[in-house]
Amino acid sequence: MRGVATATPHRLAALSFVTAVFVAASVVVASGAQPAVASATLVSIALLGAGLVIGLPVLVVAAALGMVGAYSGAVGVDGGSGGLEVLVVAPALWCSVEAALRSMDLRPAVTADGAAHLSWVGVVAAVLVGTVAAGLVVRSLGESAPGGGLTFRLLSVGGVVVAAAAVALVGIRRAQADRSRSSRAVGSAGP
Amino acid sequence: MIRPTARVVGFAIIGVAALFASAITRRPEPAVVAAPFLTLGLVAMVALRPPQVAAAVAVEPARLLQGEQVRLSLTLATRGGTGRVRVELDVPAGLRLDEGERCTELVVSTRLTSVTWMFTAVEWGATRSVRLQVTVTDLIGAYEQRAELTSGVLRVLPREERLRGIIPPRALRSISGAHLSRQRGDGIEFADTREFAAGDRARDVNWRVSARRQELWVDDRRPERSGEVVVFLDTFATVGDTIDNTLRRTVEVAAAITDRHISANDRVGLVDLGGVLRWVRPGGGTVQLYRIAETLVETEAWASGADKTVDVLPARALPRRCLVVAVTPLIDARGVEAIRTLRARGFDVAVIEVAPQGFLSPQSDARSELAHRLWELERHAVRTDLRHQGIAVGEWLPGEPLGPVLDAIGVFRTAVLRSAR
Repeated sequence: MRGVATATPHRLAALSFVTAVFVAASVVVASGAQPAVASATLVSIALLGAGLVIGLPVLVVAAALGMVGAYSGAVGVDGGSGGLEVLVVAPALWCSVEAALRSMDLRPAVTADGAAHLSWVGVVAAVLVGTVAAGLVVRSLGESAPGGGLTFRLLSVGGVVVAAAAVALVGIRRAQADRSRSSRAVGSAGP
Repeated sequence: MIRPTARVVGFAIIGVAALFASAITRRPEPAVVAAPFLTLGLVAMVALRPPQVAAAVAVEPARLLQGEQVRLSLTLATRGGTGRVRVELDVPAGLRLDEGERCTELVVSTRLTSVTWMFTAVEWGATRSVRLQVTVTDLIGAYEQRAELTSGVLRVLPREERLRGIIPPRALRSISGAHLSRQRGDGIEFADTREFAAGDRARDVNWRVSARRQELWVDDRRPERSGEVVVFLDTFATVGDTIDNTLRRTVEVAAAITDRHISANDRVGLVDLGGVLRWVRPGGGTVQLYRIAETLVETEAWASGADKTVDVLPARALPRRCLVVAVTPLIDARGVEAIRTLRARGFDVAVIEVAPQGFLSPQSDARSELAHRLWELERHAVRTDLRHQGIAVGEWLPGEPLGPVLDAIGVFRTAVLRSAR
């Protein structure tokens, strides 16, 4: 695990950049290659690259905001492509931001132990699942209840977010309980 | 102080911006894009805080010899949940990290977690403390709390060069030791034979000589006695860089001489005459060895223009009949003058010169070459002058064995003693 951990910042930075490019391509395709959207995604990619090189989280957040703006422009102009691309853009964008920030966390030659890696991977996986669920809910609502309106759909997304947060909280509490139980089984004593 | 990280602030900004975009475009897709950011932000706001972590740093051993290993351990007792702890080490100069990482991240929960590092002390000295920057975050890195811990001060004592030779003091005490006395008495070393006198012991009779001379003859022996030695450090000036210089070598020589004389049952003291005056009164045994070693590791060359002499020393720091072994690079006139003064007051003085030539940069042009030659001539004149006063001067080139230098000093002292007779 230690050997893997030493290379992790570079791998995570590469993962972040690749997923960001993937998001940009998806947004450009969804917008019908409009020049404004393409320019915004290019600027965002450049910001992300600069943030990864310099190690500034602010640039990564700015790049994500640029991506969100480009995507909003794309779906606002042509009305979206039936909500399909959101299943790609939403998880990939979050994965890109999270991988970039994690690579910066590990940048000063941090060697993370196995549990630290697993906990991060668990959080990422759980959030990705929640994001895909939110996208599926929106898409199914768009198909089954086309007259539902924006408020209805936003409330649906909010419901999914709250449900995901509740599931995450229960999971965190359970994980903490498990760890404390296992530590008692080992028989560690307090200071 | 618990504060939000850049991660959670960024997530909040992205989430709110996406919600605005959703409202402006009247499409739900931007809100879906914001879902993961909003989810994590919500979880962080509602439930996540970094756990309370009590940390304790221990260094073992706190006093060690150069080249030995030291263990640094950090014990973390966590309360109030699970979180991540990042520990960043600030390793001071003089220590080399052998085992463990300079920067490590681990998950802690409600139990004791300990992290250990192994260092090797590569340089002697009063090494500064190891500093640890500990950052505790929750599991998703939303909030963090920082603290800086400092270990105790490490004292790395110089590893003494094992000397075989020794400079015997001329005046010896009546307590047994390792130096041959010029007087006759109980001992191992044969001195002479003489006619039997009343009071001589039968076991001293030399039967072979007695049989040849037809009368009783006995052997005289020379007893082994100990002496008093004061190691005199000239720390007025140093030549070299911060890693290796004449001061470091001076201290190493002083440590080696102290160790050798202590093992010979001598009483050893220390006088450090330089920018800061320090002394250790003569004593014997292992405790005295460590006392002197601890004083030596704190030796530094302080720039001082004060005209210091040996007059400021207390009388008990320099016993009347002690041997003064001066360890000096002979580059400061005040140090040389102090040696002359000691000799003029009747002290038995020997000088080990730590030659500074190896620490000088090569002469680049004719002018500096000329200056170097003049400087060498001046040093040679100082050396000659000291020898004329009956002071043995041995020149030691750092990196070479010290034994031949001590032998040369012994030969000179013997010659001076014979000529005095």
